[in-house]
Amino acid sequence: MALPPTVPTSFVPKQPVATTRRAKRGSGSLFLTISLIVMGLAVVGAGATFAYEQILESVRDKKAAELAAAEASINRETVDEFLRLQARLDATEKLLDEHISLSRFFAVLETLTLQTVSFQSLELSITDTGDTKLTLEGTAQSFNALAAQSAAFAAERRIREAIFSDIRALPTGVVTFSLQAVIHPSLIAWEGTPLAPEQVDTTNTSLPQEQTDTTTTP
Amino acid sequence: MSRLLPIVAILIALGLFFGYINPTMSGPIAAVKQEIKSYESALEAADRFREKQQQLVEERAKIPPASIVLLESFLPNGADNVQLILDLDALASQAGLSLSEFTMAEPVEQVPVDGIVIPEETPVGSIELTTSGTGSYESFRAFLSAAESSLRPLDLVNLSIAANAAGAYTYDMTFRLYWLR
Repeated sequence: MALPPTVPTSFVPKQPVATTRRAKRGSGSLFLTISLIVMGLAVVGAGATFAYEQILESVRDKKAAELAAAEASINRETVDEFLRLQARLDATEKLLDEHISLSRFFAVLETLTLQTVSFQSLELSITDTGDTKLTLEGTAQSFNALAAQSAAFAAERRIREAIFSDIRALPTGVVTFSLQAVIHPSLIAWEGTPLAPEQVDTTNTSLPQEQTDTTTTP
Repeated sequence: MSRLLPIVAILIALGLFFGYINPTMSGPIAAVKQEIKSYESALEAADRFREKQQQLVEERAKIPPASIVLLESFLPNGADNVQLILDLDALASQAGLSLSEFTMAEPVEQVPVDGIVIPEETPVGSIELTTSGTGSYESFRAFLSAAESSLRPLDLVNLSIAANAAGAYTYDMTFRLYWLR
């Protein structure tokens, strides 16, 4: 059952309404305090930023000085010497690998040439691609001798594409011919070693002569 | 007045942050940090370089001086072709071969394909020395063997042998010699 509004609900007297002004004063003070703290933090942050920048610049200058000192300590001549030595070593190795020795070819040619065959001229040319072209002109005592010579060249695999041409039989029975062939790189590859320093007479020549066995004309 | 103070304080804080702290951190300080990083990287490289240089100095000291002289004779700093001609001539004389007509020529350059010129990057220079000799086959073989075994590398890239009327042989030879540029 609802009570009429005129009937009091409690015997406790109501508090006077006077708290509104106190609440307004407290919130304003809190806002001011927070704002001052924020401003203080910003000021401190700005100061710290300024100090941090100064410290970093100091560190940078110190590092730059250290780097300049490190650069100054590098001996350019020593570096150039090392680079040149490295280039010389690399180039020497390559030159030794690609060094040409026609003595090996002539030794093989002397072995292959029959007693009944002789050569009057020889043309040999080594191209940059490594191909070695050989042209020989010679005489054989007979066709049989020439055939035997052809078989001897055919048996040597390092002399390739050997083609006999310009074959002419003279009234004396002697056969003239020319031969064209391609020499395999392994037949002209150098496999020796340069002369030892003690063998080099540096006061006389930079091209020391070694002891060699002379051979007969093919 | 008391109501304005917090607002002013906040504005000052915002102004400091956006007007100084943030631009400074993202601008000059970031740049200086980057500089320091690059300097540290360079200093580390310099340290490694010094260590490597020291190591190379020690390794270089282990190579006998005679070997270095030998290496420099093998691949000299210049063509020095005049001395080479004198030495070749002396060598031929010792072998019993008579040399004449020394000519020098640059090696034939490879023809560029479609106009493209490939740059020469090799540190080794080369030149071709052409000479003629007369003598017996035995003399030629002795000379050839000595030239091939010489301290300075000589590659015989062209050879022509022809019998002459006197019963001897004429040798037209083209040697390729090298030096370090």
